[in-house]
Amino acid sequence: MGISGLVITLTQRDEAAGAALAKLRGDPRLTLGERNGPRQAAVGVTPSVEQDEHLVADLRATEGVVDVEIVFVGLDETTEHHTSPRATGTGGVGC
Amino acid sequence: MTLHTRESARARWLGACWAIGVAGTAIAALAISGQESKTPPVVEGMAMPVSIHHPPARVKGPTQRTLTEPAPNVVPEAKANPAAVPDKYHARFESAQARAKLRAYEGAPPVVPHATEGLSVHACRECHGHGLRAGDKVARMASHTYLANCTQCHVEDQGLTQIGVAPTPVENLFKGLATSGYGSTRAWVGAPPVIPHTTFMRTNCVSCHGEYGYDGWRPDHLSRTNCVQCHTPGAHFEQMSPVFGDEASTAP
Amino acid sequence: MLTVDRREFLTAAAMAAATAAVAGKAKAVSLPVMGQGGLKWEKAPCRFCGTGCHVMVGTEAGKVVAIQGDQKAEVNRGLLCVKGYHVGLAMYGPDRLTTPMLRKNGRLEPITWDEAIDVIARRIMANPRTFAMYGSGQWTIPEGVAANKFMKGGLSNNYLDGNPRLCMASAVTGFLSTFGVDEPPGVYDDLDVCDVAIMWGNNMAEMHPVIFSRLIDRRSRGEKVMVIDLGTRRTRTTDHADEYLQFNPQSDLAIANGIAHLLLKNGTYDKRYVEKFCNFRQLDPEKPDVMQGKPMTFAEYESALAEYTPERVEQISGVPAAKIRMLGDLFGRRDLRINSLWCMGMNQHTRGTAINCLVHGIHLLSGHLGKPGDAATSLTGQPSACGTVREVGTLCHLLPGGRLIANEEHRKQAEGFWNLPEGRINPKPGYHTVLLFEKFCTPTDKGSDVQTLWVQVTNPGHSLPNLPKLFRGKKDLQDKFLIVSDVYPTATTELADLVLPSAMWVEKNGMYGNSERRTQQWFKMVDPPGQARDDCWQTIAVARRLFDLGFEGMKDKDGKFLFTFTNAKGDEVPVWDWNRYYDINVDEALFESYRPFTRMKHKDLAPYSEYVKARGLRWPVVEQPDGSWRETRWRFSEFDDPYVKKGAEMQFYHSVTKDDKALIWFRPYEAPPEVPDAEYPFWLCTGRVLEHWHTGSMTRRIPQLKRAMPESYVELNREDAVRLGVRSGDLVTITSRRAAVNLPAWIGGRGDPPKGSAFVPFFDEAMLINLVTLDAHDPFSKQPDYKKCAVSITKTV
Repeated sequence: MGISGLVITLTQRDEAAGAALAKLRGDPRLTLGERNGPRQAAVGVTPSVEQDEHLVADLRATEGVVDVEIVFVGLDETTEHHTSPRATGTGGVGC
Repeated sequence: MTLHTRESARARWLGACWAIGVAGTAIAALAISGQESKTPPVVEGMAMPVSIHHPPARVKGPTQRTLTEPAPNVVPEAKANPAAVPDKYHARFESAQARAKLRAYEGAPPVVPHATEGLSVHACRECHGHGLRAGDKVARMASHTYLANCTQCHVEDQGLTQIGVAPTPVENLFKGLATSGYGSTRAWVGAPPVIPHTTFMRTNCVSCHGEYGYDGWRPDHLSRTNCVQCHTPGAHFEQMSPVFGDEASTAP
Repeated sequence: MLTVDRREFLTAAAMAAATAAVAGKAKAVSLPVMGQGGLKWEKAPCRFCGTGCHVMVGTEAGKVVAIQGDQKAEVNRGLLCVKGYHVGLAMYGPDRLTTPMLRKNGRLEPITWDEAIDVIARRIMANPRTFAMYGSGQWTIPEGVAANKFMKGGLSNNYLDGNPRLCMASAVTGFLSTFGVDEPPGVYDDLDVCDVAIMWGNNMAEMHPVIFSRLIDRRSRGEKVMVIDLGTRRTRTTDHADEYLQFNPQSDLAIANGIAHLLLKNGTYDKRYVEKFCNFRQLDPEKPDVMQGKPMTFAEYESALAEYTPERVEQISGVPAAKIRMLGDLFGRRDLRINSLWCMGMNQHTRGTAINCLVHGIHLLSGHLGKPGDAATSLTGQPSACGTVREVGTLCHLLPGGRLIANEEHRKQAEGFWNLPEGRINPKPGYHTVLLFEKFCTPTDKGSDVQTLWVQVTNPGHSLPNLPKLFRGKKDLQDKFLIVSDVYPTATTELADLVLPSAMWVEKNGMYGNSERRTQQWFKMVDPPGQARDDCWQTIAVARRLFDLGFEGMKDKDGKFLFTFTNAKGDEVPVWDWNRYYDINVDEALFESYRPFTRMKHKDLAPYSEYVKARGLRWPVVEQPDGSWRETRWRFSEFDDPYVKKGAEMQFYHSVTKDDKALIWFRPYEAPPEVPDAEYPFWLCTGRVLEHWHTGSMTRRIPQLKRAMPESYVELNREDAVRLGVRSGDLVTITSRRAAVNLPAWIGGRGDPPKGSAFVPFFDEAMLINLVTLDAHDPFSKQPDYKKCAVSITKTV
């Protein structure tokens, strides 16, 4: 399982934000937490690292979502991993 | 005792020794950087004089070098500011996994993914003293001040392959402390993360976060060398912290 | 189970992180990192060797999940060796013993604890005189206290010995012969300040790596330390040595005499020190089996050493005369601090007592003893060989606190401390290890009086020498009954009639005592698996069953049960009931009952509560006027030892000669009992490797250690290998007069034996080299010589 702590920033437009929130609530991968203005706390749980990435990509593509920040990543023993040719080499920016 | 892998293992071992003996440090790095890498031109079943069947003689014992060379523990000036990659999160996972594979739990000394027997005590230093990259193999710089007896803590992942002993799985029900999650220790988004591991014997940050460090773990500000100015050690791993070992303070 | 817990925890942690981020709080919020869901850290000494490192044990959800070197521990200062870092995994082998088992029709079948305790008690009831117990330096101090009291105070039976007999006994006789009291005067602090460290047949880089690093890492701080490796083969220690002096097996005796010879001849011995603090001794030729020997004059000493010229020593030892002179010169210098260190090389030796005495002797003769850095220190292999076996006295001739069974006054004192009726303790010492197992393997009708043997915390079926004679012999003897308390199946449980599952390490409370007189304490942190229970409980439960069956010896002189404990309110707690065992701290109660014993030999221990706070304390621990407790580092030295008279400088206050002087012994070089000949042309030496601890029953279940060192092997010299047509990896057969074993050869491997010799590690149960080794032993310590016997080596066909 990949477990991510997310901060989802919603648009200031109420109507679009409401629609986005409804969509988020309906996403079985997500558990929503506190909200502070446009910033919504959430936890995403997926079976694999790859699907974690899909989840974040999906969220970013959701209308009414302005930004998605990953503030916590946890992996438990059952997390699956894929190998990506992109992961090798000298690149990588942290923090 | 499994005998069937002996010949190829011996060939590999001979290869490593040959490479080290003939071509010195650079080739040694290649030869020891992975069990799968450079196999030398040893043909199985090829007739060879008896003496060649043994690893080349290296007389164990004191050398001038081990006794007099100062310890390499210099944090080098960063050579490059690593370019941004789009999938830094992914790289972090990969790195965490690669790192965890060599450790029984977070904080355990990593096992050595290459042969060490037959190498002299300063062989470790050749590659791990300053870090080294050879192809896609990386020898990370030691994370701690020079300790001379490297094999005291770091043992071969697959020992005795030199004499043809096949690696056998060992069952154990121990579940080690997992690697810390990234970003779990930031006070807020954009805050400098707290160091999620003990800093004891990991005083050399560039070991993992520098040029020969892990993908996804290199900062975009490698030129700044006073890491702990912004990144403070997480109290729950630090033995010298007053809250260390205090159960109440470590509850989520 | 753990996965679900972890997932829940992670989800909570993720939400906490997200929530805090959303709140945008600028003040620092301590968010958990993974693993902190109840992750708890507590101190404990490492389970393995006698170095006595402390670890911090990380536990979570009732399991050990991580280990750190304890930075507050003076011994290791945060560093561990690879075994120590993986010590937590030792408890989680998949085949832990979890239920008592009794052999029925040749098969071990599960029984209840109640039945198991009953079986033991009834066998003892039937014949208390033929019962024996065999423990080890892995017993915690309280476990040893309980076993000792149970056997000697309860059963009036001295058939109690322990495996330090195979390990440390010659060091003990060496200290006793020289100082009149056991255990080293020096400490590990000597490693921090010595100028020269001499390894006497001691592969410290692998066997005591943490304190070896404490020594050699001084070089990376720019300090100079000269390491001299006196060895019979090249090892990893040799790699760090300034000088490697290779000697023929047994000739360490000649080398030590050669050094003494030069000190006298060159006039470089410390005349003042010798006159003030030393007497001379030798064995009495009339009574060569009396360890105390007889006095000799300085002139007699000098003439006895006359033949040990450097040239003569070279002849015997193979070490060049120039190097013997170099050693003589080093000892002759007053400006250097010299620390001699040894372990099994000097102890597992048919002249073990002699070589121990001689090494102390050259330190005394040259005055290199008693100042920081000037020390002769033996290192122990087991975590509590000193604390439990040597101090508590779980050997067949000892009572607690350095008392002797043969001494009437000592027996009376023990009976007093234990509140026993006078005469309870049997005045006749029992059998030492080798003899005990010989008796156990001898049929009753052939004169054996050991029928039932209870083994706790050790694996003699693997570690005894000459196993065919001393252990396997039990196999077909119907009248013998072997009880084994252990944590895993071993070569010993293989022949057991009753197997008891034990708790280990942090599954129970415990106390150990390390090589430098340091007493250590830890608390239980996790539950043992299944029905495994503390060894100490097992002993007390059997004692109680005997009490209930009416066995008189289980009562003290007031008729109360020997192990009567009360809680804070003064109520008796039936600790023999497992459910009540942890109602009180039995360790503390047993330890406090043992403390009064420790004063006679000035091995004073502090109250239990002091050890809870400390990372161990080195005895004598003496109470100060302000109520604090002060440990002692340099024993017998005025500047540190409070028991030394003011102005005395040095005072050996347990002196054999009762004049506060230590003894400098003369012992000649004598040939070993078995030497290579035409039929068995090779020397065989056995020993350990870094990765495995002793018989490997724990370390072979740890993936990182077992993978690094999966099985045993024989190190051969290259020239020998070429001559035999043997290549690395080929199977060879090693044959002695006792047995033969097949092992793969390793040439140019971890160690490098000289031509004509071979080395085999003893950890591997599948390749038991102790089938081959010799059971000849030192006449005083009774410790066998595992380091040299004659074998033949052939390529296996």
